[in-house]
Amino acid sequence: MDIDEFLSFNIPECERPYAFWLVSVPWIGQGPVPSLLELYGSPKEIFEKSDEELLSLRGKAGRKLNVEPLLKCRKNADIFRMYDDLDRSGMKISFAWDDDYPVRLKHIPDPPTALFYLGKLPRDEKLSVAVIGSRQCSEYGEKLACELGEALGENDINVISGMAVGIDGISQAAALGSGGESYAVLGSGADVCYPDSNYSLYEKLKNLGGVISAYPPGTSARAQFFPPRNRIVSGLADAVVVLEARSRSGTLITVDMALEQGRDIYAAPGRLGDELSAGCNGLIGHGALVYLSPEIFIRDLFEDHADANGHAILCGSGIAGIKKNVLSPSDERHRNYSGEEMKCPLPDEQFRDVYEELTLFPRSAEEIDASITRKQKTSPGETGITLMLMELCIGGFALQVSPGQYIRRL
Amino acid sequence: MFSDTLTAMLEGVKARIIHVETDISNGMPVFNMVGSVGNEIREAKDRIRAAFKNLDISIPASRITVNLSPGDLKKDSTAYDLPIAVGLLGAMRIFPEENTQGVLFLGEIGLNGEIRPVKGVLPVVRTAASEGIKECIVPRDNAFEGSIVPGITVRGASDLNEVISYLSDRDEDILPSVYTDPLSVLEDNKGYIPDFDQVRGQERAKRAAMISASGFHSLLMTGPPGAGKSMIARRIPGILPPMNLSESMELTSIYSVAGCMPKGKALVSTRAFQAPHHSITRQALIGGGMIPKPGMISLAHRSVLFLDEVPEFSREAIESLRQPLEDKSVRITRLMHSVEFPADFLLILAMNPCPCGYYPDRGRCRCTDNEIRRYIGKISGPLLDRIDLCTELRNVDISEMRTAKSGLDTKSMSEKVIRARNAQNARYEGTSIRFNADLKPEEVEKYCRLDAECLELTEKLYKNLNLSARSYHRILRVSRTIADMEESEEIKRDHVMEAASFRPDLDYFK
Repeated sequence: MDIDEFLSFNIPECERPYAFWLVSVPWIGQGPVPSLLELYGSPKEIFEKSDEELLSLRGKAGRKLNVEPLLKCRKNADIFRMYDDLDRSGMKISFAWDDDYPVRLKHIPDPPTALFYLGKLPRDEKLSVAVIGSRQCSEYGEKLACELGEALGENDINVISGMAVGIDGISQAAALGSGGESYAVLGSGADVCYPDSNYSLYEKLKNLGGVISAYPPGTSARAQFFPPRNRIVSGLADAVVVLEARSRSGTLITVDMALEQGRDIYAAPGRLGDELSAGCNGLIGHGALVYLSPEIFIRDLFEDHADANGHAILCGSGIAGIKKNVLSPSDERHRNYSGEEMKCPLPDEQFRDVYEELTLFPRSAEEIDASITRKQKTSPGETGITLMLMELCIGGFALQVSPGQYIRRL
Repeated sequence: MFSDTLTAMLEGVKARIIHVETDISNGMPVFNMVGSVGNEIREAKDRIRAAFKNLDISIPASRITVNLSPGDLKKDSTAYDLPIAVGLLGAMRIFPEENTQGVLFLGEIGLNGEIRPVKGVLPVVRTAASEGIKECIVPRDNAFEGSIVPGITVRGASDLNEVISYLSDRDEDILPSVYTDPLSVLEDNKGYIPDFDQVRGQERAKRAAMISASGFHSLLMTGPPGAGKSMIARRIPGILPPMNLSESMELTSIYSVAGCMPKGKALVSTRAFQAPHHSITRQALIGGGMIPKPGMISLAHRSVLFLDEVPEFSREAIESLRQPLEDKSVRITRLMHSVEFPADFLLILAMNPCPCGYYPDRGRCRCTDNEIRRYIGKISGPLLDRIDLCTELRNVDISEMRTAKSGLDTKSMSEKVIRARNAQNARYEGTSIRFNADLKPEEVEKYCRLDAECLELTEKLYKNLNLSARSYHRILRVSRTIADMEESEEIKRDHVMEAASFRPDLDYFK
């Protein structure tokens, strides 16, 4: 069904419990709901039809509509009571025809009929960025996520993500931490914290942003629920940034959806041969925009997606705004990402050698020793290197990530 | 007719003298044994009866009563066979009564009259000597164990006939006494321990092993499978200083009680290397049983206890190590009595960094954060608190293995260890402290004094590395050991830094 039809629905307040009934089943995608609405026009009317009539319905391709779960729900539960309970639990619901339904979603193929949410829904005029990446991320990915989340938060740009472990959660927590807003789209009911290790983030999101789901409350997470939710993550955003992904990562599903929706895709380049960045590098190879730094990214974002007031120009919404560079790089609202290489503040030459050997990928004293020996033919030895590494740790320039491995701290 | 023979029962690694009283009197022909005897002793009756028959000795058809006194102590061992048999023969007046006076007997009897080895000969002989007993007759296979105890005559018998003929006319030639000079045994009893120079390219871990051996600091090694964790652990006994006589006696007593004495050996003088499999139960690890037997931690007394794949051990077994690590001994209490086994061991732990083994190399490691956390979480905080050193091994590739200079070898490492031990001995003379690892917080303040520069450094460490008070003390203890190794009276900046690099309280373990 076309979005205009959705929008043209004028469903009276008193029919909301019936509409809720239609979405009280965790459909993968939208299920038979659009077809039903198209046929009858009003949720109440659908509710009052007999089992036989509903079961005999045929969809567009002549296939039977999967209405059994609805009938079961109608038979076994009191939808009015369920709707009441929902209201009382603080869970809000926004239907596709409601005014508060995010405009961005109205323009994606297959928009969700309803969004359940705790907290708020993102405001349409604010720029939104989806920050996504793998659950198992390296220190490098962690750092990128943290940096980008913080920068977006400071610039009052919404961070949309899936609240997963790894890149998702880190970027969202960073955005909230720097005073921004963030919205999580879950693959479970909005009242189910998945994964439960992110509980504190979940609580913060409820207060400072929103937790959104297309699935009814109480739905527990299942693998097949995640790809459909990914379309909402990218659908709510103006641009999608992939910070770290393996070559066959679930993150790439989101990218596919985002492409379908016409969103800009940014990918953070990684080291060649590094498996955790293979997906990102692949995306760049396929023409994704290169994510270089939060500063450059935010500047581009404002250029491409914001109007003179810094408000978002919604893609596909028909409001053809003039793209204008509203923020010069020297704008005070921006943090200064100078991009210049950090100088090792330790004067000693040897320290500099060791510091230069450190990367964001964990290395051991032995490896550093071997590398320095190769370059300079002499070396202070593993113990000497360890001592220097500890000095760097104390000075805040290095981090001991495991008993024998160190990374550079930025 | 009545006779009284001496024997002994084991209580932990100590022994207690037991009197075997035998009485033959008129009445119904029965063979009664009293005095809280267990099953193994009850069966002695049948073994003795058969052995006597096979030696053509007839047991009188009278009422025979054997009492093991004190009667309120539960006894259970096959070592009572020989004293009961001798008591019976004495009561039958086969040999003069005075010939068994002041002689302690110990041994199991076979149906053909052969005398078989038993457990705990060394502690029994030691107790006998201290109680003023002049002579012990023990199984020949165990005689060496007893032979190192001065001030007592120990004879090894292999056959009941020998004992009878010796007791009849006290002919020294039948049962010659054995004596071994313990010091000479100590000298030429060195076992083979592989050398550290076979470990290539793991210099940090070898250094950690050396510090661990010097100050008796417990060590945790992490690293991918095949990196050489067990190789290093296996070589640690080789860099511990040689055992002195009293240490060797302690360990031999435990071995003797546990029945682990190598045949024909008088003393265990090589540092043990105990590496129990991770399926070990708590009882097997710390000791247990109805009549308590020493566990692995006691067999590793004054030596190395190596637990490979720590997260795979049952939580119960691992947690039970906490108290022995503090007390250096383990007390096992049973309803009627409690025994104490010494357990002063050097704890060496090894584990993979994550279930697949490759963390933190996220390119290869495919474990989820939760999996890693669950895996590492199996090492409890309290146990981690008792670990002073932590080091990581990495995979060494083949070319490096060929070219790498062999680095530290056992000889140079043990020299440093001995140097550090000497420094500790001198410093802690007259106190109950033996090693730097034993230092309690208030003692750390006293013995690990820092100069102004180091104080400033430790303050920085404290702040920037998020240390707790406990881990701060731990770093000081380890730096004291490093300073001792380097023959430095004061703890220097480098020592503190190196100690800090081995600290186990990284975020990684939380």
